[in-house]
Amino acid sequence: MAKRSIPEKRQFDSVLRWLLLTTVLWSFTALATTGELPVLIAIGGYPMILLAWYGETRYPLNKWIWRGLIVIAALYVGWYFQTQARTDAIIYLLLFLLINKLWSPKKPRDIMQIEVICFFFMLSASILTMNMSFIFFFIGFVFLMIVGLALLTVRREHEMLGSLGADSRAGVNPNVIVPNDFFWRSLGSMLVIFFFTFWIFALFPRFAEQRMIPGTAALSAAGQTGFTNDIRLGNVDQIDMDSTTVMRVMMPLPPAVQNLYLRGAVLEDYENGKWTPNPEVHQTEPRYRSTSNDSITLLSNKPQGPVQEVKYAVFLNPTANGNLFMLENTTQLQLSRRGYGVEYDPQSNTSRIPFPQARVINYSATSFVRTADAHAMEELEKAAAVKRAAHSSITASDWTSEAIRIVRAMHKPQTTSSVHRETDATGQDLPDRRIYLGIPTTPAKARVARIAQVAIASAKATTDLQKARAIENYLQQNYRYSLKNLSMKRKEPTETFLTETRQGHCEYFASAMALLLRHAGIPSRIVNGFYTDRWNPVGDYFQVEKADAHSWVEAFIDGLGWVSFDPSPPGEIVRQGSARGLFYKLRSYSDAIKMKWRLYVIDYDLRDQSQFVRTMMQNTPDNLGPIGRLLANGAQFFSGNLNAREAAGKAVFALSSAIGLVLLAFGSVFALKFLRRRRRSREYQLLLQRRRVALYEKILKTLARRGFIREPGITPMEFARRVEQARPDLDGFVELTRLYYELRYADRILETSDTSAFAEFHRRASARITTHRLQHA
Amino acid sequence: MRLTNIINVLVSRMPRWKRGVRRGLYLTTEGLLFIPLMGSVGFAAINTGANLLYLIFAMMAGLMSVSALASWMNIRRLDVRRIIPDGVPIDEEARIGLVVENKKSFFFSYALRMVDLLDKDHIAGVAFLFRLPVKQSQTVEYSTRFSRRGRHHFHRVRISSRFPFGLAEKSISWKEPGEILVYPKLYPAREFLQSHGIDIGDYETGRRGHGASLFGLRDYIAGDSAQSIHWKISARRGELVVREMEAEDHRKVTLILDNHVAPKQAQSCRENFERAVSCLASVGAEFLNANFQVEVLTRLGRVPYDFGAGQLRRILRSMAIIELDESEKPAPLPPIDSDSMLFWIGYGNHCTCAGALELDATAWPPSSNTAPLMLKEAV
Repeated sequence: MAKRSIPEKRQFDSVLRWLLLTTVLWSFTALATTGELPVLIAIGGYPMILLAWYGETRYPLNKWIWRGLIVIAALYVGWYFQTQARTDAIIYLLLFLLINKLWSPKKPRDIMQIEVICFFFMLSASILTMNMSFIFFFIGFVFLMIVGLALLTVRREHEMLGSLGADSRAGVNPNVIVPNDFFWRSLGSMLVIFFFTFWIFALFPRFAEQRMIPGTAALSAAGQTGFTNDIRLGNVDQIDMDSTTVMRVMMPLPPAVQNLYLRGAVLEDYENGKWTPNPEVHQTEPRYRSTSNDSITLLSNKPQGPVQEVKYAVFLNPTANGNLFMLENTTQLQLSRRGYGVEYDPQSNTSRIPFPQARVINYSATSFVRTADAHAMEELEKAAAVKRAAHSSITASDWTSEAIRIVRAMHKPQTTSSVHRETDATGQDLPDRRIYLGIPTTPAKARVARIAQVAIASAKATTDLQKARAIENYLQQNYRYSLKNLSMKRKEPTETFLTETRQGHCEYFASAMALLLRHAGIPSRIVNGFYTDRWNPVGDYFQVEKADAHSWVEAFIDGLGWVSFDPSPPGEIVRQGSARGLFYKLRSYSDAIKMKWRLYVIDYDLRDQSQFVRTMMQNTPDNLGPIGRLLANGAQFFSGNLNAREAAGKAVFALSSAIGLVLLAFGSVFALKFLRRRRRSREYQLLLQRRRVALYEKILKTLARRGFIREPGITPMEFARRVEQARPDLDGFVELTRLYYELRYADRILETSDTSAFAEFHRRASARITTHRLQHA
Repeated sequence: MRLTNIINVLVSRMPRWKRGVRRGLYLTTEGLLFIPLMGSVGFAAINTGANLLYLIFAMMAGLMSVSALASWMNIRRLDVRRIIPDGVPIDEEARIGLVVENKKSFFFSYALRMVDLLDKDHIAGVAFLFRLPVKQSQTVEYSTRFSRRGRHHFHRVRISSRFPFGLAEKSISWKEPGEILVYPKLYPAREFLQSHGIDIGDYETGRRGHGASLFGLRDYIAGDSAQSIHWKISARRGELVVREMEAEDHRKVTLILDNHVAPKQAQSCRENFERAVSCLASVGAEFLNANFQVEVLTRLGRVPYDFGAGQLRRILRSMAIIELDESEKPAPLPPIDSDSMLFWIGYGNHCTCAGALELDATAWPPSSNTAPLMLKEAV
């Protein structure tokens, strides 16, 4: 029967080589996709690796060239380390070492070193990224490494045992085929490793970071959201939609609201198309918690009017500006981590964390969102107007003259306190009208004022609330939402939007409404934040993306306080911000997984850990089935009044902890024992025995060069006697031979003195003496 | 059957857990380097609070755990039987077979290292097996050489594995007794005998008889035994042809080795005694190859007359275990058959057997260039 030939690709050494190349490319890709490598290195690394891989056989380099390259690389890396980013320098060093190793003949030891370099690539990638794509590379790398290490172990074992005299025919040889079950076994090992990885990752205690070496925190991947702390209109031609998730908002099911206006920053001052926060208004107050479970009180009273209490938790991805996004009228704020202080701005009811964070900020808040009960709001406003009439001379009819008076007052020199405080009819702080009614003088100012009049007159609005709604509706119905052709350089953008282009995005709408409100004498301000109605049904949360960045308006209505208005056409916002259909579903799944990645991997901390252990303890009786019930009953019996489930959970946890500690102690003792035993391992003894023989054989070789050849059949002792007889100066050879007998056959331990004796005799035998040659028959 | 053999058989039939099982686990060099690396990653994770470093650390710890677990799975429920040749001359390659059986139901075993241990845990040899499927057995061999004749006792078998990651080595060993006889070295002895005036051809009888050697062929005569008919040649020639055998009455050789020496001389005689043992075995093999009946007499006893390869084995076995007798009252040499040719193998002692031709073994082997005979060549 013809012997079946082995496919070359499945042969042992071929598989090992290709696996190694795949591991190298894979780990380098993991590093390159972090985005932290220079583009030149990230792209140029691949041809370099492939050139080195094939260059080993086709273009071998002279060792002096290598030495020169090593010196240059060392100097470059050293310089880079001193002057540039140290992480980059280390990566370049690793890359150079990899190229060096790949360009050299690959023995098992070299393969092992290449695997180690690849491991360091993955390690660097884990430091440089927080992206979820890392887990994809991580899983692939673990599989490649497992198979590679297993093949390498077999290869090294075979080589080592071959050198110790094992029959290579009986073992593996380089042409043996790698069986399929070898790969399945590796896959199984990988699953078990991931099982262990999960538990160790989940239970390994998290300590406060940066405790041991200050200034060595992981590199942050803080990203910019679509949100900004100001508005600059007319600078760009087009805005691209960015679907990067900014935050997720969870709330008890079913969600209390269908859409969210998450406030981030409030802007009051407008000039030349720029909305900026007024520094006089934003006097922030630091707020801290005394303990980790305390919540921070922001507003002491809930607002007037029909409101709905909403409790929610926000998982905010790293941002550069530290703003915390919350719904309107937030009264309570609770941060999940210790150490965070909050800067609270009572005038705008916004908060921020002073320092940018590299990790997800998790906080929960309680807000009071106004409901759409228009009638109730109007009633409240009317009641407030009646009260206001009693102590205010400003009426609805002379709002224009009053506005003009305020604007004129703006340009007068300040003599008193910069922040002017008044209270409304309900005792609430009135906004500083000088700030919230400010309108810059522009050529089209009169036209804008006329637009406001038209909008109000067409709706026949009389109260501030009605006027604001009239302007909101006017803008929604007569202007078009667009993200294109927005550049209006050398023109006043808002007026151009209102009078010429009549199209723009949310910032134009908000800016226009704020100005129109001010023309109508209603204090207004712009709010920057996010709007979303994108409910993720997989993860049960509102998903907020960069594309959901939004601007809207808040107007101060007597009796109600600050009321939100969104002049952007609602249909357009929904169309732009939230897609539907299959793609949306896929994205929901993807985002839910990302959320869990951030929540349970990237930001998994001691608090989550203790929660996890608590859950485990509480659910242990259920998880263990009949044994759990038995435990629960037993625990209840012994603990008396204790809750059975709790007691059983605690018992199991204590028991498992005790077993773990005992195992750890045993493991340590055994590890020490093994280390000692290793010295006396059998193979080591065999090697020692060979060394003893080698010492003697070295002397025999030297003597042979001097003419003393030990013939077959002559015992070592006979030979020694003959040598001593012929060369009296080589006395002691008989004694040395006796020592050799003891070492080889009597299991005598090779002492340092023995080695010295052999060395001494070898030195004497090596001396050039041409006389006294032994004559053989 | 010798007592030790009986004990060996009984021990080998014991369940393994009763056979002095020793288990071991130690870290390899890679494992020793891996642990500080793992510690460094853990330290970095704690220091920076980066959870991806925790993930890498957890993976490394998982890898270490799986390494120990998989090594253990790899070597559990394996059994080893040893296949030992009857005997092997000194310094000749002996191939020892190890039949390894995987009794597990699910897990293949990979990269197994079998170490065969002699008394005092001296290593007899090492064998390697790449892959062993479940419920199957495979035989691997290792070659070894013994530099001293006599009985060599195998003591234990050790299986170890660094599979899968080479970070830790798990081993298990148990008592697996066995024994191998190491024969003296054999050399061609014809020239040696000629140097002592002995030509084996001169001792052929040249008479018909009832021996084992073929004397000649002749035509069938009525009354010849049917057993003596050479049927093949008869069929070829078309008439009956009968075999005639050579007489053997004078083809008996007795080799005498007196293994008793005075205690004072024992030390100085020891090397020459070894030569004498090798000489006797080689001379015996030469005579047996020439179809002589050979008998060996020592103070241990007698190897009675016999022919062929079986007799050579018997002689080699007796020569394998013979030792110098230094006692004050040694056992007497067995009585000598007067019909036999007597050869006294001398190693510096005096010939005490009248009529025996002394072969001086102190000059053994005959020439320094003489290569020893392989056992299969001698047989």
